[in-house]
Amino acid sequence: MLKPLQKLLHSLEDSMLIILTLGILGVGMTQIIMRNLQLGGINFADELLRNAVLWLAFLGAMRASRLNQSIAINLLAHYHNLSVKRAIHLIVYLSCAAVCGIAAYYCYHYVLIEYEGGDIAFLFVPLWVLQAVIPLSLGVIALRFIIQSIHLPAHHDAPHI
Amino acid sequence: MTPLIFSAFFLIFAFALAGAPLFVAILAAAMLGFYITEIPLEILGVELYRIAETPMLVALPLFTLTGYLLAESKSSERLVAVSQALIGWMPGGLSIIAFVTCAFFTAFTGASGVTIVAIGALLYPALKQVGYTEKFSLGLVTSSGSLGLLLAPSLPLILYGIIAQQMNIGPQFTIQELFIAGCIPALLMITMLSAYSLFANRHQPIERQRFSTQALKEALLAAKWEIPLPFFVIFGIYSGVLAISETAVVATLYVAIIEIFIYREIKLSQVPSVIAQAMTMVGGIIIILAASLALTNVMVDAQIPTQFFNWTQSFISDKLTFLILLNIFLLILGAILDIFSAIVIMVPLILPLAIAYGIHPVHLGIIFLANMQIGYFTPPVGMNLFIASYRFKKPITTLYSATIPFMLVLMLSVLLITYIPELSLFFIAK
Repeated sequence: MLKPLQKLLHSLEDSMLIILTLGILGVGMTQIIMRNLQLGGINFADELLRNAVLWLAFLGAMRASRLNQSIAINLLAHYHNLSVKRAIHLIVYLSCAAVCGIAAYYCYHYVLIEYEGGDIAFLFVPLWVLQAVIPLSLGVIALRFIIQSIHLPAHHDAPHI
Repeated sequence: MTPLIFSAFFLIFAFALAGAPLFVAILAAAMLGFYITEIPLEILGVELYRIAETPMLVALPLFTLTGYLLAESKSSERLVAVSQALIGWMPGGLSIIAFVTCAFFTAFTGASGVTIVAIGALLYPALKQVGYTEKFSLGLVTSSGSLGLLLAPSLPLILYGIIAQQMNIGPQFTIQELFIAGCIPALLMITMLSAYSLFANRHQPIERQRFSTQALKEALLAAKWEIPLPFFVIFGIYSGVLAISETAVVATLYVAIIEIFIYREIKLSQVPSVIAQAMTMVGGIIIILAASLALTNVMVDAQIPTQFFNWTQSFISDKLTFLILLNIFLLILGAILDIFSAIVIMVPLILPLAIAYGIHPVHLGIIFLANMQIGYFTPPVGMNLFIASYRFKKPITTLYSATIPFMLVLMLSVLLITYIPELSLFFIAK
């Protein structure tokens, strides 16, 4: 029951990252062409692109947490006692889950306040919709940290290829 | 600070060392700071959303993608072939080729370790074949893996520019000026390394390649679509015709088109996975930046940079001592922290201090990255040591000793860069 749901979430995450990147490239190129043809350009392009980067960042961080590729120092990676390593990993990851969970909760509250305020970011897009990615991704990351707390990751390195 | 609060901060620090993702540790510190100052935690939403208010950030994902696309194709082979045909006939030719190609490749791929995998792996056997010793070759490819961080459009340089500009203190500067400032120091590093390489192998029988117009023609022809790329980026950035983010858009699309449709080395079906991988790295970096923006505000509210400055001034009275300590500190930092985290965490603290000691922010950026570059292969945990150890199947201790001479040469160049500001600021309007 959970597996297909998880798979759906993963492919949704990946697709969003790809669509956003292609979108940024498309809007960016359109801007350059329109400006050079003296057509003025899209007046909300800047806000659109900056918010797209925000979404990219939080969705990318979500994917990094899924693949255990979040940037970390981890001095323990080269330490050999496996059971001590497991115990520390469990404590650290559960604490991380708590931090992200609390942050997600308060960011959700903030988005609710924005929702009630009804501000528009650009065109007809409400500001709260753009901000919603923050609590959403932090929440998912918190859940992932809980799941990952049980398993010691196979590699501890940063995602640099 | 009460003992309880102090222990909480200490615990966060300990967790960060024990493997907690850095953005979580920074976020936790920021949350604790807000809690102490009795600011409602809803402020986190405001703070994290500031990413969407940071101009120029859009260049970051795009240049990252350009780097990933280049790394995925065979552009490294063509780059090496062109430089080999161009300078392979010179004494020490192959080692100079290694320095130059690594620098160019790293400028585009942001010192992600991919330079060692893509170019080092090509050059390592070639170096040994023409007569360089194994130890020298190994040291060369490992230490060159981060060369080029100071050249446009390197991601760490852009990130430094974004953060320093956000802080809005000291003399104003543009990212273009930062790129210009990096040119002479990067050239200095390449020249010094090349000179060392010639000196170290003066008794070594090194085979030289004969210059061949035909070989050069062939290599140029094979790379004819990639050769315009650095020129375009340099022109786009320095001429002011395109903004940096626009240069990034065009460069990404150009690289995508040539690698997918002309060279056909990346299949269309591979593109989604390359994008997803690149954006995972981008997400990992920007979320640290987001959390750091929040923490910086907490620190500014608590007047920590001012206190830090007063404390430092109590025992460092002059610029020279400050620079010496800065170099030592940054070298250690570079060895334990990855470059992006080091920039977002430390620049907000160090920049006000450096400005107070009369250091130009552009110069600080160059000093910062030049030190970090060495940190990449500083024992015990420099990232490139592990990548090289894995790629060349050599014990890490072999790499420690192989890289030491190169490290000393680069340290000397960092000292020159630090104490002769004109090397960085010569072309900058003051």
